[in-house]
Amino acid sequence: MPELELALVELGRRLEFPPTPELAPRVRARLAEPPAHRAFLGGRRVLVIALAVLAVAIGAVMAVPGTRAAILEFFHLRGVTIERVGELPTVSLQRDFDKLFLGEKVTLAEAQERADFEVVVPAALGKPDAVYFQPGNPPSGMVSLVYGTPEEPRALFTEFRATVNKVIFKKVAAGTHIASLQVEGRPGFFLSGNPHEFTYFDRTGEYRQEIIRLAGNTLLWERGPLTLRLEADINRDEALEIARSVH
Amino acid sequence: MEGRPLPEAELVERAKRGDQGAYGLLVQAYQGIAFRTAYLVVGDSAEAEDAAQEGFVKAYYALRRFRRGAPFRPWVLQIVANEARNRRRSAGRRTGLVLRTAAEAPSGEAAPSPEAALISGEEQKALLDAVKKLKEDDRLVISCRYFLELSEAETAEVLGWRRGTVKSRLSRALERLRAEIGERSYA
Repeated sequence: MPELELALVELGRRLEFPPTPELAPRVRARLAEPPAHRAFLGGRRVLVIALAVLAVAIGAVMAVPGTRAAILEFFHLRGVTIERVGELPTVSLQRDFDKLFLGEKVTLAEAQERADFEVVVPAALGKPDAVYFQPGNPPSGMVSLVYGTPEEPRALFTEFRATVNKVIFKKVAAGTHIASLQVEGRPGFFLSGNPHEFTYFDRTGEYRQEIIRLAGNTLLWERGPLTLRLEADINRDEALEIARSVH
Repeated sequence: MEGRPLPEAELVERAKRGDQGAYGLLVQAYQGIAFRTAYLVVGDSAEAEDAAQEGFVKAYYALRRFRRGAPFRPWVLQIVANEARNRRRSAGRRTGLVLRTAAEAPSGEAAPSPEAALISGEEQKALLDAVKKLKEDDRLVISCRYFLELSEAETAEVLGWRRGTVKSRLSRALERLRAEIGERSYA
């Protein structure tokens, strides 16, 4: 082998690659899962179950409802507008899980059948414990996957196909931290800190609002034609890992 | 496992019949080279980890297409590299070579003994810098052949090129590298 090639081989042996992760147990854990719900992160640690209450916006809001507080900042993602306000209005805390306006309780197969898009699942979270479908609003329908029990929800994953002018409106108080980031090259936001508020129209078209008091944080991001939302007691890196497991 | 084709062929056959334990041993044997291959393609360790893991899972489900008696390593590396390329594409970015030599490591980390080196730490750094300046295809073919020490056939599988293409691009890349380092000590 000519000298340059030998020098390259020697250089290669001196290169510092990041340490190889232990993949075998994780691959085996994934193979052990049923194919539709293979846990992407297999052996990684299970999420802490610590959510007090979960809720999600279901509708499309096309105008800013009310002018209770000065708007400080706007953040836009396709189909979602995040508005930072001076203070959040006081509204009741929604505790009844089945009244969280997630829509009808369905199976994953039914949700796939009825939604106007290819339903994706975050494999890292395993099999959802409940699936909800909200038809008509947004027009594509909206699918929500709930992990954990109604008493102890540990994560909520929501997906819908965003349209240009129908948006979910999300309000956050000044203390909420909003980080702009990328998920597999697509834009997203990670919201952490104080409670967030959703405003939306419910299935009858009526304007509703809900405060969501979470021990957890929220990742909102785009993937293909979908806008996705993950809410759980996780940090930013964990949220990104789960986001990468969506398929 | 490498260089001992019989046990490997046996493990593959068992894995094909659904023995996940046997497949786990294959993963263990090749996770290092698979991870480093993915890392060279995506240039990010978290992405490389995901690509390697996903590649191994996909390979398991594709085992029935695996030709009996063929070497497992290039086959699985091709699936992992493909996964890594897709991730890089969806991230819409071109990656540079994000490696450094042990010689560049901060003091306190283990450094190779200078006597053992064919070229000095300084020369290594200069050579690595020159490789980093190459165009992506040139850099990838050099990385596969010399840094990962893959065979020409394996390099072809990993990069998704024909073998003739690997040969011609490699010789062109070496030429460019010689020009970059100014012919110094390398004939």
